[in-house]
Amino acid sequence: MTHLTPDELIDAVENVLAPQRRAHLNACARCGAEHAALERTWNEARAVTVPEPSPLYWDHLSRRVREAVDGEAVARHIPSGRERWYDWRVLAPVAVWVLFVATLASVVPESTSVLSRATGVPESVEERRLDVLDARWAVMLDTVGEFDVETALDEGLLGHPWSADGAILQLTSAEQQELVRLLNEELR
Amino acid sequence: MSEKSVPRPWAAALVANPEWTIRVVEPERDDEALVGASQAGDREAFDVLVERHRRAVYNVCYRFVDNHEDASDLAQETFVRAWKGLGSFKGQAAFTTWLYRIAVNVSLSRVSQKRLDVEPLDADRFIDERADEPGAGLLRTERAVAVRRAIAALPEKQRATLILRTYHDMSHQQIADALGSTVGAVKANFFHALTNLKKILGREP
Repeated sequence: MTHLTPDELIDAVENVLAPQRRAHLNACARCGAEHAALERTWNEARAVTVPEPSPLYWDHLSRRVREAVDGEAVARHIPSGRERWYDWRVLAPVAVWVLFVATLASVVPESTSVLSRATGVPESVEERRLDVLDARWAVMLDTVGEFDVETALDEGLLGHPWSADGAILQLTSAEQQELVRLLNEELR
Repeated sequence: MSEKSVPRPWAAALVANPEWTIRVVEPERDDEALVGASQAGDREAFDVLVERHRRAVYNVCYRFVDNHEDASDLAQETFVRAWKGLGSFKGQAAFTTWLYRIAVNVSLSRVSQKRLDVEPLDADRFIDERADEPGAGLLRTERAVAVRRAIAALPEKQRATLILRTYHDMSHQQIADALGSTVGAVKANFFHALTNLKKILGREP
């Protein structure tokens, strides 16, 4: 019969040694001594406790963890308003829009008034200015009409959905036309 | 003939005591449910997990570093890492096993950084703590300090195995899962930990 292996000595210390090997342990002085020494050492280790912190400590620890976890969420890169504007998906449509408006401003001549061509009546400066504005509004509405609020928000074109430009996007075509008419009246 | 509803005793009691309020006690969610909720972004569920396991995690960490300040820092770091790593927890092991694994890893990292200065024990200082004499309590405290230092002097795997087996009553399989090891290696490490501890404490020449 062989002496107990390290695994079997651990089984003996933990009281799960197989019966036939337990018989050897009971009969063998060497295995018995080794088992007793390991058991004493383990009992001595078990007796060492962790000093109990103050009862207030535990909630303090929970609070520290909560703050640290919150800090982790903030530290994750969340693009600021300015950074979102630097994304190509935002700049591209804005650039197109700016180009449209700039082109319109340079191309739409003040002298080509729809009203003037239709009636042949020489237009006043005010009428020509309003016609240009009409044309510009028409182009703008055409461009804006291609976007819905969600797309504009996703692309970061809107600071918030309740901004003025966001409100325009929510108007129907007829409502937008009415808005243009009202703005023109105000400008007269 | 219309049916009469039988008034329940508690309803009558409520009528008789209008100042009473009904408190709905939610059944306590188990770790699995709380982990699932935390993974879905429920911060309060994670707070409950922290509250439930904070003492055990702190104790694991304390066993490695033997002081409150470091143990506190390590416990906090353990939970923060757990929060950050929740997405990778698949539930193949128990949440506590996974949490202990994190605690052991952060503790071992700290210990290897600080390299505890363990003084060699003088065997002559050992006095039989069973003696019922004045100062016996102090001797037991000295012995406890000696045991803690001896544990701190063990190699990492042996120390971790001893701590988890002795103070957290984890099975060999659970320890193997926590340490990324096998049951056979755990038992071997446990045996060598006790043997070395015995030598350090001076019971063997």
